[in-house]
Amino acid sequence: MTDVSASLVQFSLSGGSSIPDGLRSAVSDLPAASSAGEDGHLAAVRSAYPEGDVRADVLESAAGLARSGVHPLLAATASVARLRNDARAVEATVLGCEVACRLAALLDVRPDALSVVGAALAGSTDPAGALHALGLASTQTTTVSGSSGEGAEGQEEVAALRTAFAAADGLEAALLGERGFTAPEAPVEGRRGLLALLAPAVDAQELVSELGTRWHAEAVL
Amino acid sequence: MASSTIADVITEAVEQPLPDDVFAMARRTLLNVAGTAVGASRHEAVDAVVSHSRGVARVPGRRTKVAPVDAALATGIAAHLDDFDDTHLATVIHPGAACLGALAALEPEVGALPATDVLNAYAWGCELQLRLGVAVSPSHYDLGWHITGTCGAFGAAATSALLLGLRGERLASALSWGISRGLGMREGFGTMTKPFHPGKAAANGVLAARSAAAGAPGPDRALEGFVETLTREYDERQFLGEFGDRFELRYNTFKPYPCGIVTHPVIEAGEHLAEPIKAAGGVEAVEGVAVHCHPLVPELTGNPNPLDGLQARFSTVHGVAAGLLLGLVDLSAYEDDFVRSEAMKQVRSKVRLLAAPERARAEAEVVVTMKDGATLRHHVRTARGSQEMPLTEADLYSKVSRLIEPVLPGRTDSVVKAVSGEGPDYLTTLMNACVGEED
Repeated sequence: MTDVSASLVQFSLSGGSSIPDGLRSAVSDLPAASSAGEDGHLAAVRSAYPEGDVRADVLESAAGLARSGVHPLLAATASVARLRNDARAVEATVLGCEVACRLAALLDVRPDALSVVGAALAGSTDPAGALHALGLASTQTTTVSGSSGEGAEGQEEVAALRTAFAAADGLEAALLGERGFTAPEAPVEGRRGLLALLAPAVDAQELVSELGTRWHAEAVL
Repeated sequence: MASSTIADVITEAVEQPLPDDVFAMARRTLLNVAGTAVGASRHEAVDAVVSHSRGVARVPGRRTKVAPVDAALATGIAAHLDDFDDTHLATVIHPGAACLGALAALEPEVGALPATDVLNAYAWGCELQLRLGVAVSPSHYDLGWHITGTCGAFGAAATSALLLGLRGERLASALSWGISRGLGMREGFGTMTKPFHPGKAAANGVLAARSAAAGAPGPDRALEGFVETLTREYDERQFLGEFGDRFELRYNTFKPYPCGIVTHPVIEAGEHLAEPIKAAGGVEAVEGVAVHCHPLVPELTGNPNPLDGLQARFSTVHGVAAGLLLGLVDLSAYEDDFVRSEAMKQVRSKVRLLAAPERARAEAEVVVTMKDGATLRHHVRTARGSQEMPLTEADLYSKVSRLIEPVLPGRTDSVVKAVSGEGPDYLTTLMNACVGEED
């Protein structure tokens, strides 16, 4: 049996040499920078963060990308990857999104509900920190509940804020993991982990089946 | 149930004064977590947040000022870190930590508010998370969610929103965000992720109120989403029935030991047997220790070989062994070096947990068999700190003093005085006391 959480972390930190061209292009073609514009709601949230804090930066960039029509998962993950992993930002974005998409498919939920997981992995740089970041992100996946934020009045703004929060929370998880903040070793497949709580009947091994050869993110991004 | 309806119910209720005993319980809850927050304020988990933030808000026990969101996070983490805070037994929610985080974050803005406004906001934040918890208990926790975090963001959002004076649509928006941004899987127990839950719940609650105050809409169907996805049961009467009459906060209890509450009666029995064991030759002369307990004990705290202090908090075997060896179990019994000591490994290896459904949750019987065949036993029928036998005022003062003095020598009385205070500047006075500044 494969250690699922550790395998997902290893995959997310890999070179990504097998990433299909289409996925690379989807990320490479994103706007280089996107401003959230004049936004009192986001400003109120941003003011709770320290001046110049990187979490506040990704709040703004993720909301901006989401408002310009970029998929929320991609917006959150790419915002963090660009800030943290500039040299391999494209790879970190695709790999983080792929893990999130695989989880979403197995849980049978919207991929954007796993944005915090994609962002946390995209913001991580070392295996030990990334595993803890995955733990801190997984424990925040109550985002699978509620509506997608589409349709009803005012809910587009809700969706943009959700994306901004996911980016900031994912980056925070990565930073805390890097600083030695401890988290469970098997947050995905553990007895009280993500799958046990949200989809107890599924086989965790499906998450790592054909990892790097079959790309779930292609259908989403 | 639309969030606007919940907000209407709450708006009407908060206009009424709290019953005296509920108001007093809010003060006791606040004092208890102020103590635990100061006590754990120098832990590396708190450092991981505080050392990387700068701003205007304060964290109990720390001199550095940090950004509001980090004050909420660090304070909530510290308040729950030692698992020494409070417990509402019907839900096993620890309500005080997340709402204290909200107070710390917003103190720079609302520090001048009078005691009544602050304590009302604090009490309602605790009350609302407990009501949500009761409505989804026991299945929500049984499924594996850490109810302190999942319901805590709702409570912290309520406290924050009331401190900021939100009503109507803005209050409804804050509450919706609070419900939808709860967090916490029990997989994180035994790691820093457990106290992260009330800390992050506090931060999410503060951000919920701030975005709502700026006019942001809240997510629709937040409560429905919570109920559909995170629980198998939901009783709306428990959530919103008898509003203003029934107060779940009345049933909050304060922990006498820094660990999971199911371990408490076992530790108490162990402490009682320490002296008789000494008189009979010491722990070296013990052959075996049988712990007769409720089935939740091995289910929740069954780790027989903890490797550090956080893991030991989920080890009843460790707890009873510490009681037998030390005679008094406090924070020192959960220091990493003590947990890893040979003496403790030896005593733990002799302990067996014998669960039986007829045992009550607040009950335990420990039977020690000595190598010469003699037996020593102690039966705790109702543990200290339980609903039936709450900590007295003197017990609570002693607990808080033992937490505060090592960090802020000589400051216990100023914290107690600040929590007991009346009139304006309540939060500023409280935070001054909690960081060791003169009034």
